[in-house]
Amino acid sequence: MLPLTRQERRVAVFLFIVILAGAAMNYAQKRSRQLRPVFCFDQSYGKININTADAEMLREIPGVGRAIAQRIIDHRMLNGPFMDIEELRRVKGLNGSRFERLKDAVCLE
Amino acid sequence: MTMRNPFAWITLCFSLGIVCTSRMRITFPAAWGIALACCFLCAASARAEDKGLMAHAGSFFFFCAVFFCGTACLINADTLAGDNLSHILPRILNRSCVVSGSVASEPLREGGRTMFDIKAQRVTANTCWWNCSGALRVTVNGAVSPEYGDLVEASGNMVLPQGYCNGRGASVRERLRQKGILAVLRVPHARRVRIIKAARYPGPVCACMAAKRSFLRIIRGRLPPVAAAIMEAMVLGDKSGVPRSVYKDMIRSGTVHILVVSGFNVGIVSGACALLLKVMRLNRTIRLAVIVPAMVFYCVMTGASPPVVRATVMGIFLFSSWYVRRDPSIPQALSLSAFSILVFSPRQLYNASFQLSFAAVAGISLLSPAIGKVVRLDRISLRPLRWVAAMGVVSLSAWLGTAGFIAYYFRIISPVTVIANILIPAIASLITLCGAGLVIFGFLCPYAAISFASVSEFLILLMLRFNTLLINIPGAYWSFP
Repeated sequence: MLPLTRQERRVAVFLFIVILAGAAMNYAQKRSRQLRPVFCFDQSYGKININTADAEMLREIPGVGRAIAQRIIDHRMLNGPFMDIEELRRVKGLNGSRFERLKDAVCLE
Repeated sequence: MTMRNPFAWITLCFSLGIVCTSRMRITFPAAWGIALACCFLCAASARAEDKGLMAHAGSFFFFCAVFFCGTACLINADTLAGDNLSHILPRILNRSCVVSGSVASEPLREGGRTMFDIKAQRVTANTCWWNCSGALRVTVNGAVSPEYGDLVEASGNMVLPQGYCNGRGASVRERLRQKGILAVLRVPHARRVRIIKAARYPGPVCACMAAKRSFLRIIRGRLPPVAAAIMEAMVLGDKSGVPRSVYKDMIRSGTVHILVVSGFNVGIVSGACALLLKVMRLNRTIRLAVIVPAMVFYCVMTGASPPVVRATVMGIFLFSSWYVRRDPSIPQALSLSAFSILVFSPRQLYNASFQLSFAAVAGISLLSPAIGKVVRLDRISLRPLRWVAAMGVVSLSAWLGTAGFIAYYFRIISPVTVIANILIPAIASLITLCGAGLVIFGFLCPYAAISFASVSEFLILLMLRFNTLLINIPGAYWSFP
C-alpha cells in the first residue's frame, strides 16, 4: 500500500474521480449531441427572452426600469415579436450606451 | 465567577458603544477620555484587596472602557481629513471635473460599463484645482482596464451616488459611504480615462490582484460565460458577471450565500496548504508561518469582504490554538473576528453582509448542538441518514439565525431554504473544490484542467437546475413589499 495517510488518500481519490468524470463527460459531449444539454450550458442560459418576458422579468435586465420595461412590452404589442436584438434600439430610451449595457443580458427565442 | 465567552461580551459591549454613538452626541475627546478613565479605574480596582465588590466594580469599569472605545472608534472613522474630497464636493458637484489618483480596486465590468474606485490626489474643475485625499467611484461607459495601483486621470461629471441596492431600499449612497466613498465620477467614454503611470513596484496587494487576474483568465478561458461568472463569484469573490435572474433565483431559495467567498473557501486554501506542508514533513512552526500568510493573501485577493475577513480571522485563531495545543472555541473565534473587523471599520456593523455572515455562523455554532439534541441525531444508526439529518440541522440553524435579516433586507421569507441548504451547499462545496483544482491545474497541467472544467460546468448546471426546481414548488417563498 502507498505510504499515505487517510486524509491524503482521500484527496488523491477525489482528484482521480474528478479527472475520470471530467474525461467521461468530455467524451460523451463529443459523441452525442443529445447529451450536450445535460453537461453543458445553453448559450441563452441566464439571459432574458425579450419576446416572452413580462414587466417584472424585464426589470431584471441591467439598465431597465419600470418605464423602459413597459415601453418594450408596448413595442412588442404594436410591432409583434422582436426578430433581432438590434431592434431594441427602436424603443425610446434604449439609446447607444444603454443598449450596449443590456445587449448581453437578453436573448430571442 | 468566571465568564465563559469573554470575547463575546467584549464584542457585544463594543457594538453597543457603536450603536449608541448617534444617540449620545458625544465628541471624540470625551469618549476617549472616559474610556481611558475607565481603564485606570479598572486597573485600580484590580489592585484593591477587597476582591468581592471591587472585582465587580473592575468588570463594570472594564466594560465601560470597551463601550466608550467603540464610541471613540466610530467617531474617529466618521471624521474626515481636512483635505478630504467631501470638503470641496459642494463646489464640484454636477460639474465637469478632471480627477487624478491611484486605482484602489479591481475594475468591475457590468453590462457595457466599467466601475472602479480611486484614491483622489488632485481635482480640477474649470480653472480651479485642489490637492485632496479621499476615495471616489468612477463609472465609465465602455471598457477600460486600469490595474490596481495605476495612477489614472479621468474626466467626467461629478455626482452623488444614486439608486438602491436591495429590496429594503438600502441606498447605494449609504453602502458606498461605509467604504468612505462620497461621490461618483461619471465618465461618458472610455477615451476619457488615461493611465498616467502604471504601478511600478508591485506591493503585496498588487501581487494579490495580479494573481487574481491570472486565475480569472484561467476560469474565463475554460468555462462558458455563465458558468465562469458563477465560478468567479464562488472562488474569487467577483460576482459582477452573475446574471441577475440567477442571482434573484438564489435569493428566492435562500442560497445566495454560496455566491460569495466564505469560510469554506478559506478552509480549502488553509486545508490545501496544511496538507501539502504535512506531506513535506515540515514542523508546526513552519506550517503556521506558511498557512497564515496564504490565508491573508487569499483574503486580500478576494476583496476582503466581511465574510472572508471573518473566516480568515477565525482560521488564524483556530490554527493558533492548534499550534499552542489548546482546544479551539468557535464562539470565541467568532467574537474575536467580529471585534477585529469592528475596531478597524465600525460602520461594518450596519453592513448587511457583515450581519448575515455573523448571524449564520452564530446560528450554526449556538443552535445546531441544541437542535441536534432535540432531534436525537446520535440515535440515528444509518450513517448516510445521520449525515443528511446533520446537514438539515445545520441548515435549519443557519436559517433561524439569518431569517430575520433576510426578511428585513430582501423582503422575502423562504421556507424552502431549509431543504435547499441541504443539497445546494453540498454541490457548491464540490464546485469550489473543482474550481480550486481548475485554477491549480490550469497552471500546472492544462490537460487535467479540462476534466476539472467539464465537471465544474456540469455541477454548476446541476446546482442551478435544482435551485429552479425548488423555487417552483408552491409556497417555496413569499416576497412582500
